[in-house]
Amino acid sequence: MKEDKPASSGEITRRQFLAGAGALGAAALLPGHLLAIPNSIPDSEGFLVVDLKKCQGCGTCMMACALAHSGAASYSLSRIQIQQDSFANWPDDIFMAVCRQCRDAPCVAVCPVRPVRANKPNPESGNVRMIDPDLCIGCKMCLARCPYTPSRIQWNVELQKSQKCDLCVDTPYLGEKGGPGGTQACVKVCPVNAIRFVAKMPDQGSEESYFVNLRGPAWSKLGMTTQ
Amino acid sequence: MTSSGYAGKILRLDLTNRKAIAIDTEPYRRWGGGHGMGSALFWDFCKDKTITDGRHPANVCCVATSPLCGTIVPSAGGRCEVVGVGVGQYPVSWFTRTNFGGRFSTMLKYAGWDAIVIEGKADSPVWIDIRNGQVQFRDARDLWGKDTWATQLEIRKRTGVKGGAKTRWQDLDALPGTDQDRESEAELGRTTQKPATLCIGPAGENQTGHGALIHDAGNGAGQGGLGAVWGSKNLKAISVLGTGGVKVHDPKTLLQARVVTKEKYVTNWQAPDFQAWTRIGGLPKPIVQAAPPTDERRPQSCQGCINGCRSRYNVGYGNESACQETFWYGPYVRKIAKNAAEDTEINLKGADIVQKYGINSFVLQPGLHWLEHLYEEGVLGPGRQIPSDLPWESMGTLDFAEKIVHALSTRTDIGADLAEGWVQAALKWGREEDLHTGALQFSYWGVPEHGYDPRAELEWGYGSLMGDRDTNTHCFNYIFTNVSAAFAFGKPLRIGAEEMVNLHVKKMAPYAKDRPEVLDYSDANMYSEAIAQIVRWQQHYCRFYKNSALFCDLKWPDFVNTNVPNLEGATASTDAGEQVFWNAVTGDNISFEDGIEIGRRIWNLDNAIWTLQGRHRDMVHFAPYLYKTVYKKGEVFPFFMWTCRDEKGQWHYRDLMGRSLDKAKVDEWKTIFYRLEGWDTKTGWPKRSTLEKMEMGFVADALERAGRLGEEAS
Amino acid sequence: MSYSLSQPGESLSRRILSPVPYKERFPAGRLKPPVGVIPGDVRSLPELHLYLEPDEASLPGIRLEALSAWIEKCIGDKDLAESIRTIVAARNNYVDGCLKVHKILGYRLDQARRVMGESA
Repeated sequence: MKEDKPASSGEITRRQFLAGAGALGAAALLPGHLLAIPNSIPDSEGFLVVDLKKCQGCGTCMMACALAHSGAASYSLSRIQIQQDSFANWPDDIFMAVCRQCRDAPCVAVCPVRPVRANKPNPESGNVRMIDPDLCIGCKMCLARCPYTPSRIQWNVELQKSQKCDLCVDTPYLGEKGGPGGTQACVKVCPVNAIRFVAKMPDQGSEESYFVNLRGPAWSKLGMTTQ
Repeated sequence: MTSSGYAGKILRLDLTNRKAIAIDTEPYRRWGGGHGMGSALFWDFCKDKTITDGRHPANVCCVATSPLCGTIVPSAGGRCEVVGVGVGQYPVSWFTRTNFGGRFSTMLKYAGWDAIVIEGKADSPVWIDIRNGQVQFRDARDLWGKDTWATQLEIRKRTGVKGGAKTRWQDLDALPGTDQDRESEAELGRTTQKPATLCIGPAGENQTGHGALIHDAGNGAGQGGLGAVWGSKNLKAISVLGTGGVKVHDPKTLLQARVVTKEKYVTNWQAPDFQAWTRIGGLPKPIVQAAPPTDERRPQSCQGCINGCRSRYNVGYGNESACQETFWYGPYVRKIAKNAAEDTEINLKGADIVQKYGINSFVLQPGLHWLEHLYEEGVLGPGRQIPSDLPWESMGTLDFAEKIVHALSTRTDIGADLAEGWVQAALKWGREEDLHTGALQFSYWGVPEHGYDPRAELEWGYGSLMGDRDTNTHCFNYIFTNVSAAFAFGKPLRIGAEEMVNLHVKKMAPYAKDRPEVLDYSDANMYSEAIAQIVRWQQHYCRFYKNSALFCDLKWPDFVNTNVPNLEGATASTDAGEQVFWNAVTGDNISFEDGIEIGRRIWNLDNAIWTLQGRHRDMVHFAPYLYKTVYKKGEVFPFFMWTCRDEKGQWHYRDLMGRSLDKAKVDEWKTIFYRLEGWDTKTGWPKRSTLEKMEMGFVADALERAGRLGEEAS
Repeated sequence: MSYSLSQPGESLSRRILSPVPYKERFPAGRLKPPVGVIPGDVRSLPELHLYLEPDEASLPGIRLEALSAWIEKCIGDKDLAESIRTIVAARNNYVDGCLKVHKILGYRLDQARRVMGESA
């Protein structure tokens, strides 16, 4: 995780808050007026979790994602990124990068567009963190702010705007309703079901909480480990 | 015609002058993509189509994608076709084809290119660095000599792309080597992906007939010696990074058809039918020809595949290899392996050896059998008539595997003679008899018999004979494998013979529609017009759907499918047939049968090229052993089951072992075939009337100028 | 499972564990879809045993009916040959025959290895 920027006087970084609250208790650390910090944005009602050991590296999810959103298949414009190294061994040969629909999404917090942020939760679609292309000014701050590697925000070179996973809310080519409660193209097309939509927010304190085991006895019958 | 599915540009590489030229795809649109496009490009840019050795500088090698590449068409989008005059065949190296999977064709499309035309010869080794529209010739002198994996890793380093799966986004503009002075100021874009590289190893560098093209760890374009073609041109590698996309005409229909394929035609891996009779509908299980070394692995596939046929393991070997390269050494490993685990380990490490050297391991399948025979007969070995200092007594060990592959790849020891072709070597060594006895089973055009003997599997043998190489098209041959396996296990047959043939011929318009006799491989029917029709159908289907549209040979066509209640497979279906996907991507409105016709056109163009190369029906013969010996029952397998009709017209599965081919009858059959194709039966050359009906009058003109146009009267 | 095969002597055990000359090899192909039917041969009983070991992806290709004669003539193990003759004659199907031959071969090889003081 990237280091937070240094806090200015009177402010507390999120990392310091979490560290302090865990070790000493919030009251000992915080100035009184910051004692009760509400979530600044509502939680998303949907998340994608992935099984890094299961993915067959076919890229179908990436192509389907770009297709469903834009009508063109593409890796660079896919909102899920599957990376692989042909010369590495399992399980380190593949990484699956999905947007985590973070609780206090830094990409939302950093969006400078006003009066309405371009990158924000969409209350009509389960508070999925979405970038409105009509509002995005292409500053790339969200892209840089995403603390994960690779950044879960993509840069659309043609439109000169950022974009991100919206759990298929805005997918004119999908032919089905997306968003929480609806269909996600990547989940639907994955030949081995290595991606799953869940409504329960994974633990926000670890990167690994989004990496789950989606195998099981049937996978074992195919001759592959379920560990 | 729309341009959907196509990138719109083709890249011509003039290696002699180190120039990259972009041309429009549009004039080649009617050839589909892949092979068709490659043949048409070869026709236009090869100035001397009489050449019969692919190492001739006039040779043109085309690497071609299809509109389906880079899209989610199931088990189609990941393949890539390579064409050109080959190396190492006998008596002539025909204009030929080879094909590989992985990520290359997807990345090439995303870089904005439909195909690459490789012309001329560089004065010193080069590799081509493609980053979207930016194409640069780079010095490969210090890559020359490296194996294919080391080459790709080094190129990755030179493009500045980090190793490991999990990496940051890379701006192409910021990568080392990006031309900052290029004309266009537009950003090149960003990617999280590694460059997709196609390269040669020592076998290609040394211009051996078994030189292959390798991509990533385990994707190989093995047949035809196209690796030697690259070697002759001083071309070490082509690397591609692409950040664009492929516009699809009807994305909704494409997505829907993809989902239908998964839900209707493919067995549910969570509750699978392990014995399903289907091609597209199987499980993501590696077709590794040894037991997997561990369960700590994943399935691995080409881009867009619906059930991967490879694997990556945690053991450090065998990654991405599947199929023949994992068993070329199998019969010998078994002689020394102490147990199944050791058997697997040596076989998979043997796969890695052939991948790294960039060698077509298929030559070793009957070839090593033959070399062992020569060694054991006292003819080959240290100080013998055919001198060889290889450690023959240690056949089966990894050390021997490495040594023989090294010799073949570097033209040392017996590799010096074998590099020019195995049949050529046999003749040079005074071993012509081996082609008559079957000790050397190189059945057609100096290339190895595949594993489906022409005396039994007629469409395979005839298709190879009437074409340019081992046809390697599995359209029908699971009839043999599924039925023979069922007989072997004493299991009830899931589909009876009559139903099997009817399920096929329902979809085999136009030549074989509702003509079940085309699948009657009995002795009484083996030289018939019906058999000629199935061969035509297969070659035309493959020339378009598999070699040009690039549907994967392992998964298509899907005629019968036990995952579907009425057993009808995905092929030609209205919900997920080949034409459904083609139309959804391109916006064309072809019927399934229209695709067969496009394939016929491409097949005719190929025959025109072969004709210019000097082909004549008098050269078109199987290797002598197929006429002189019988396919011995039980020596390789107890039976070879196939659909046959008896005298009463009843259908059965019958054993086809125990017969040979009759040379005179094969020759008569050729006449039938030529007549059906509209070719001169005296020569096998295309006729003007046939070509003009396909808007190929320009081809007829060229043949006429060369004095090789088929006569109309025949 | 036990078979009615008496312990072989040292000379026979040595032959059971050793390869025969190339000229006496027994044809043994393999069906490995989608590669096809691959020719080969076996030259020893340990190799034959490994060859017949079942796997999910392939089938051995031998003439079971001819196996006994080969074992009798080239290895010299009459008892094993007779047992295999009986098994092959009574087999339910080809694979059943291969599996049963595999089992009895394993038993016989263990016997021979014990005599020779080898580990399995």
